[in-house]
Amino acid sequence: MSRSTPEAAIDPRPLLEIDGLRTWFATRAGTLRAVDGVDLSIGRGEVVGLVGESGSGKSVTGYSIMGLVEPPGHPAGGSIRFDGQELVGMEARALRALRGRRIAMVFQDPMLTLNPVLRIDTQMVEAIRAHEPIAGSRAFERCVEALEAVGIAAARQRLAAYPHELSGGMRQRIAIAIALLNNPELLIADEPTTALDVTLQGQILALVQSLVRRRGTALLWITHDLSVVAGLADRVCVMYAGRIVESGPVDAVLDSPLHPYTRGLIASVPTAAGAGRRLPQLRGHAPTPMELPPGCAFRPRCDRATPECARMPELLPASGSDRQVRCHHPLPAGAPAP
Amino acid sequence: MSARTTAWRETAADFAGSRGALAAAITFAIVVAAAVFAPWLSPQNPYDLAQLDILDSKLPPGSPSSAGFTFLLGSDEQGRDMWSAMLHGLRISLGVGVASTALALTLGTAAGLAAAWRGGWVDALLMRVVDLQLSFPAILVALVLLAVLGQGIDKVVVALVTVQWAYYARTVRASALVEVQRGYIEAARCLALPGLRIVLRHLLPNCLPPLMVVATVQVAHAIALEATLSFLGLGMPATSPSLGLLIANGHAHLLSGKYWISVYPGIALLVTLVAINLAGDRLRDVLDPRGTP
Amino acid sequence: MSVPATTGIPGLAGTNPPTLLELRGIVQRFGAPPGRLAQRLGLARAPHAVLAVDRVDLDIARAEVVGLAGESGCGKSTLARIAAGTLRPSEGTRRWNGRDIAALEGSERIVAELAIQLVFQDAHAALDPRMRVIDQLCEAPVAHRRVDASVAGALGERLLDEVGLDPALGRRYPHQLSGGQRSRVVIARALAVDPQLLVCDEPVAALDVSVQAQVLNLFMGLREARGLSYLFISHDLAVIRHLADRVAIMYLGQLVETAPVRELFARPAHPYTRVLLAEIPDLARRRRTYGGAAGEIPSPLAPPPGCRFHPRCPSATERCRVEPPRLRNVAPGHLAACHLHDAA
Repeated sequence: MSRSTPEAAIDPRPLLEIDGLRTWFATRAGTLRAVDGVDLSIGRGEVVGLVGESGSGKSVTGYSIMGLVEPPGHPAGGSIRFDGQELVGMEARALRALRGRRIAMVFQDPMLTLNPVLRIDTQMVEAIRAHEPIAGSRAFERCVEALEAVGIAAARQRLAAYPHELSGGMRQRIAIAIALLNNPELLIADEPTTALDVTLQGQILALVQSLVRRRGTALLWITHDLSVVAGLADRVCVMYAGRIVESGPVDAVLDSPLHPYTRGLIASVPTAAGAGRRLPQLRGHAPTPMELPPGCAFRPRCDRATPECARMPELLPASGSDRQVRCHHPLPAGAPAP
Repeated sequence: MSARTTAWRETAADFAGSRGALAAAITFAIVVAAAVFAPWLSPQNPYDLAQLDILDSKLPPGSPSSAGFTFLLGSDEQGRDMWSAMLHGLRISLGVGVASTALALTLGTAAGLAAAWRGGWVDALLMRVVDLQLSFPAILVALVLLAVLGQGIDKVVVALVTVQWAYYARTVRASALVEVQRGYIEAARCLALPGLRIVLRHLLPNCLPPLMVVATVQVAHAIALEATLSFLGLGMPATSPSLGLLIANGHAHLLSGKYWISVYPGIALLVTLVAINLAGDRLRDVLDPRGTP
Repeated sequence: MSVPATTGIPGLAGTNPPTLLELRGIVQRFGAPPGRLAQRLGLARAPHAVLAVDRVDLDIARAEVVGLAGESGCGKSTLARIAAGTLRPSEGTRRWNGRDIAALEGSERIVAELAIQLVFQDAHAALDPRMRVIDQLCEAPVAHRRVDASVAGALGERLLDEVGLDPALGRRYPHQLSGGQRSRVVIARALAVDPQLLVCDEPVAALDVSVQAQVLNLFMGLREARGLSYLFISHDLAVIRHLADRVAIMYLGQLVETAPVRELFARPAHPYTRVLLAEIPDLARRRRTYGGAAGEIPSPLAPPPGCRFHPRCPSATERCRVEPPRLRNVAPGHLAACHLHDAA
């Protein structure tokens, strides 16, 4: 199937629009600003990669969209509009009805989706009937189809199994099948392949890719792995210290990054051409969300930093309307990748 | 500031987060102080028979004594001042409890560490002994031991250590088995450090937190057990009564209205045990958020 | 299936540096075989043990970096522990400079053991949480009387400096450090006893990309400064390609291919190696259509008969299902265990 012509026609209005999202955690040591101003939009059927290192807030962003942030975490501002509906501050019941039906999520650990003491069929039938009043036998047939769609042979036997009887790859496939049971319009994938071996990672990527393409599902793929984003996404958003620092089409961002952090991140990936040579490295390490420097959080590690960077830069359009960067001194557009 | 002081301060702050536990800890501190300073707080040495006057026998609280001071909490059969007897009894009870706990802790920790570190038959042997030990009620084992050994403070301590070390051995082994799997122990082995050094410098310090919780609760057990043994007449000799023996002494007079001989030592024992248990429970919550038993 | 004792290192053509560590016929079983009574009574159920490592031979030469790759459960971490001496193999020998380490005694044994040090994946667990960094660095050199306790502090500070850390960090406890700093401390602690070979078990897998680059650069710098050899274990072939001179690929407890790094990446001889190479991280491959290799790794409890890779192999034949292939030369210094190369 060709990537550029998904069957569902792409509606120009974005499916998901996030503006200035803040999710903070109140801890005894102070306020942890895990997500501190995220702007992000995903079109219908679009595949967006959300890239960041640990502690950048990329997972909390995913959880925030799903309304799954638990205390002491709380929304501290911003808006999340899904198909025009505001999700921040939405009544719990309305949000539950949306979650699992129109927006679904798969996690790094499939056991977050699967209940260890229930058989697979029990959990899946429950997931369907939570949103649709249909007979148990009909729901069961839907489960069989769903497992077959994620490439599980002998689906009926697998449905009678408990999660611990299945391999890690199988569990992740089932978690994906459950997420896609109700044909959601948006799938949020939080590093679902990180814990898996490379061959399994390839299988899961192939599976998710073919399913979202066939159904026209929008996909937000959260990961630390730039190569997965390169291979999978249409657009990429780079997060650093709770904020989006750069976003744009995957080719543009990876070939000529505008933000110094993006460039450093790309240069850190070992390549065939650079084998045996020192990698260009970013100095220092990412600040913890507890001790963010004022202004641009990347400033202490940045070669281009000036006194001006003590003032927080805005995420502004740059180099054409489809790219944005949060930097006072962005790299020249069209500069070659490192 | 070092990590150790920070960690300690955090633990202390967590602990003080519960008012009940804080009150319990303060109560326990007062009890300990009362026991330590008993000779200075009591008007009479209750163990010195020369100071006792049989004419002062079983006087109610507030009565004047023949020696001139007031029996704040009354006197017992032999004319002992209950207040003095209680403070001294508390001293013995706490002393026996702490001493036996310290000894049992040392013995049990050594056994538990040996079992976890050596594994194999050492582990199997030690743990079967522990199982055997724990399969009998502590009070039964202690009674049999004291029946054989006779009375005396040293014998009570021996009996208490015998029935308690197994708890520590089991606790230490369980946490040590987890710790030996961790990378820093493997690193120490890779650095060819001597086994004894790895056990004492690396393994033991990392097994201590759960141990401290068990030890706190076990001090209370030891005190209660000693009181029980003394109450049954197998613990301390009648000349140096602990709280348990004081309660037993007054037991016969309870129905005749002379409640103070039993009730005041009983209250002292109750307050001590409740304070230790409350503080111990809180310590467990603070040190082990997962709440394992 | 033995490998020539000295395998040439690319870039050092003509000189064959001496082999430091030789692993011969290493077998590691987990799970005890049933006792004699159980066997008599017929209670012994097969399979009773997992062959985590199955007859592996591997050499590491002086100043050589050997990359060991494979997916989880292939036995690479077990082999690392055996190489580092923290796990005693069920069968097989480890030779250090030609001498069987198990037969060494006293100070000779300690010298050989200290010469091989382990660098861990989980730097957090690898450091004693209740000991200051500087004390952990100096403990072994002082205990083995390599330095006097009075100058241990200076040694610790020098080590921290060597791995690119501020010596003031020595006063801290491990939990007060960042992940990258802890990784460096683990490396410094291994360096404290002047090793010649570092066995690195996924040392960068838990690190963020930007920190991973720093630590990889540190490994390269240490190799140049100290002439270290590495047995570098990683699931990430891009990392191995970056550092290694020679690569060994493991699958279900067995070595399936070893070759100089350029040779392996240019001409992979084993179908499994080709599968791994197809999934190597690559930023230049945009908007791929993922295919995904067939099948999952079988349980090591019941490995397939014949070639262990045959159920997932696109070119498996009848012979692969019955006859296990042996490692054989397919090119100079390039060994592969695959029947497909018999015809050539």
